Amino acid sequence: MTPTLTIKQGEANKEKNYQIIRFIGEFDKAGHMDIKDELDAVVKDFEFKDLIFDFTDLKFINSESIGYLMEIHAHLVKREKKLILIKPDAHVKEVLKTIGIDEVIPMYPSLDGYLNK
Amino acid sequence: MFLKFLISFLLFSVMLGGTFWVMDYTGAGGFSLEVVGIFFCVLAAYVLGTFFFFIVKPIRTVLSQMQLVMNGKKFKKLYTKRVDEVGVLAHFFNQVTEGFTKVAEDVEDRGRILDELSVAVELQKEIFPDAVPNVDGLSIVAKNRPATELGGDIYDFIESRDKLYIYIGDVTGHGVTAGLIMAMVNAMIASFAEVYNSAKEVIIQTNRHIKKYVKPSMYMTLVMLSWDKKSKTMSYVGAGHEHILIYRKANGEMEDFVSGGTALGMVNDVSSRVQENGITLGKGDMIILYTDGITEAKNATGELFGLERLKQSITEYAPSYSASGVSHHISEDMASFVGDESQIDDMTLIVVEKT
Repeated sequence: MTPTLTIKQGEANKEKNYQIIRFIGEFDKAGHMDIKDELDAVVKDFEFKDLIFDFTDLKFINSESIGYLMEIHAHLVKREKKLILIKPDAHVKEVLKTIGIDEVIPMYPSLDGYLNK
Repeated sequence: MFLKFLISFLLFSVMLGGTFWVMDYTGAGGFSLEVVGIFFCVLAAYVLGTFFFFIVKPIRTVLSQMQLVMNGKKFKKLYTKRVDEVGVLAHFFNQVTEGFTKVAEDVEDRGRILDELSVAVELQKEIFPDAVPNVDGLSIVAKNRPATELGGDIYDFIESRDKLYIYIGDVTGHGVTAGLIMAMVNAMIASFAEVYNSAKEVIIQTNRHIKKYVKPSMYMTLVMLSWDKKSKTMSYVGAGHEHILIYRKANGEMEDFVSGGTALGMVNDVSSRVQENGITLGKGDMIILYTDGITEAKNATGELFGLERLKQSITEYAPSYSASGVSHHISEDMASFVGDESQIDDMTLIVVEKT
């Protein structure tokens, strides 16, 4: 069965202290189950300062998955690290903004936007 | 094991009998027939005794315990140091009955949990209002359908002083945790509505308190309408909830806008993000509030019902139906779109019509 959501480890930049994880698919309950173990391991072993979730290929996100993002954010903050969201498409951006997550987790339209913050 | 024992016994008897016969035939032994007979009787008694005490009795013990198990009576664990078949049988019995005991305990636990859950379900039903308030100037219809026994959606109507607060909320996910948060928020809103005379302050105070008690992955989106019974004016405050939809009777058009604000439980203080804005309503205008269980309901091909279909339903039925008719037809449209697909999230719909 094709997973609803997959993640791929992207660029890890030691100098700028970030690592990118790309999300591909739909982040709903089923998608969450697809990536949970892998993403938990990534977060647990994360050694840089900023963990960047690239949402370029994320087509859908629901409120339950945003709760999971909040949990990751809280986990990273405890370790003095940060979660960053980049490149959400119009729908995903609208959902994130509607709930007000941009108050808590920084969101940028591009990687450059984040780098030039 | 019994077969092995019998074969060994027969083989031993034949060999011994053969030896006696050869010795008697060659004249080497000189045994009388009586001696041989007594010898065989003693041997048989020994063998049968051994057979009874080492095989029959232990097997009977296991079987009697098995019978107790099958009759649902109290049974005992079997203790043995034997490593042969009887030992294996006793060990097998202990393992299986240990499983039975665990299953029985699990069933008992499950029964207890189900009892407690049914109490929680009943309590949650009590939280939902029995009826919509009868308020001059408004006609209100509200529906809720949880996805599981305990839902995370809530709506309520609170009358305090000259205000009627109508709110709809959605806790992340559903189930026991969501149900508890929903109950907690409901109690807080009811309490703060008694103390503060504005929806904005009720939301700010509720968030401040709820943040202390929920884990980071849990939050609640909410939108609250505030109807001033004296001035007959409507305003709203959002906390990261879905769109507010407004049907304008005069021109048959729909307006939609996000409620604004930040979901409850996300940050300690939402006061800088919360705003109370007015909504001008004409006669026959309708405000439609909903939770994402409606717009995110999927059909067999995985397509979402979506905001556009919801708006289409409203514009189709609102010109000719009252609030209850519109609510009914939205439910029907959604049910026909979803078909036999199972409901994955709680659904709540409120239609408020200015009369």
